[in-house]
Amino acid sequence: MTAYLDQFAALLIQLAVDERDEVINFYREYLLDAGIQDYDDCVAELGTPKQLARKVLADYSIRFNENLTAETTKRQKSRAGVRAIWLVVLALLSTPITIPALIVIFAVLVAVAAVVFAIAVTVVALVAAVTMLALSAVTAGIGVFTQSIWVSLFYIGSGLAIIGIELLFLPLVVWFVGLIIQGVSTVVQRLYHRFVKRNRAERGGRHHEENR
Amino acid sequence: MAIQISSELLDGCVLALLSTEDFYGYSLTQRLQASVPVSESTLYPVLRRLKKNDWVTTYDQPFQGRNRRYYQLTAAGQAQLTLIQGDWEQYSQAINQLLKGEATS
Repeated sequence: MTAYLDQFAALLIQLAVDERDEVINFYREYLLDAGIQDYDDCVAELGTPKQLARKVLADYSIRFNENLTAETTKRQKSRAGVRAIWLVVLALLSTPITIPALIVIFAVLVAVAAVVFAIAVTVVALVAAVTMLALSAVTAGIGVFTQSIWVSLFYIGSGLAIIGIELLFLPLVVWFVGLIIQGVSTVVQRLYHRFVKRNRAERGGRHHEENR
Repeated sequence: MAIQISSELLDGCVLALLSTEDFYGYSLTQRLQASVPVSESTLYPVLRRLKKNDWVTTYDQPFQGRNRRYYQLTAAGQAQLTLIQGDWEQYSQAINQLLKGEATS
């Protein structure tokens, strides 16, 4: 019975803790009252843990998903985006398209890469500059400590405040980078589909001409 | 029985049972299954819904070193039960007439 309830609990990861406890307590009490101990008997009475979880979650109008947490999906999305870009590049290199088309695609890819690189450099430079500013303010503050405590405190304080603000903005930057990766991935995929379709159409056209 | 009970009717049945006495989960399932075909796992979502609407409250009572959670009808639950009873009266009459070929327009 414990094994059954543990499996069931693991599938209810999406619920709030108190909600989950309430559900599990209900079914624990139920199984105790029914005098059911064996795992197989539990399944015979209530269905497999998966079936039971699906039923319970349906009531919370949560889509049933066996292994899901908010963070991993985001990271997986980003990773999948990068993988899609590579796949498209490989597919383009391996498809027999005319050289002009290849040049165009290559140029576009280079342009996209350049833009992304430029944005990345900008972001890194911005972060580095702000960090430098903050660190030098703190250093300057410590330097003038013996001369004037108030000026020193002002510099150290503003330096630390800048670092704090930077840390606050960090999630935004991460989100922005993820957005760029996904955007590039979509653009590249669309590009690939367009050219491949055109390519197939061309081949089909030629085929017809040959038939005549 | 091929006819499936709807969730509104199931709410009504559970409220009606609770209007006679307080039940705990297992006993309520047993009592309900004696009358209508519902699966063992159906009842939790129903009770959760009833509780969320404040139609029932719960209290725990110790039993053999653990707690049993009892379900109790509230005044709002009683009102809801009366509402469902009225609806069912109308609905069942209409269906009965249709099924027996007595419907007149």
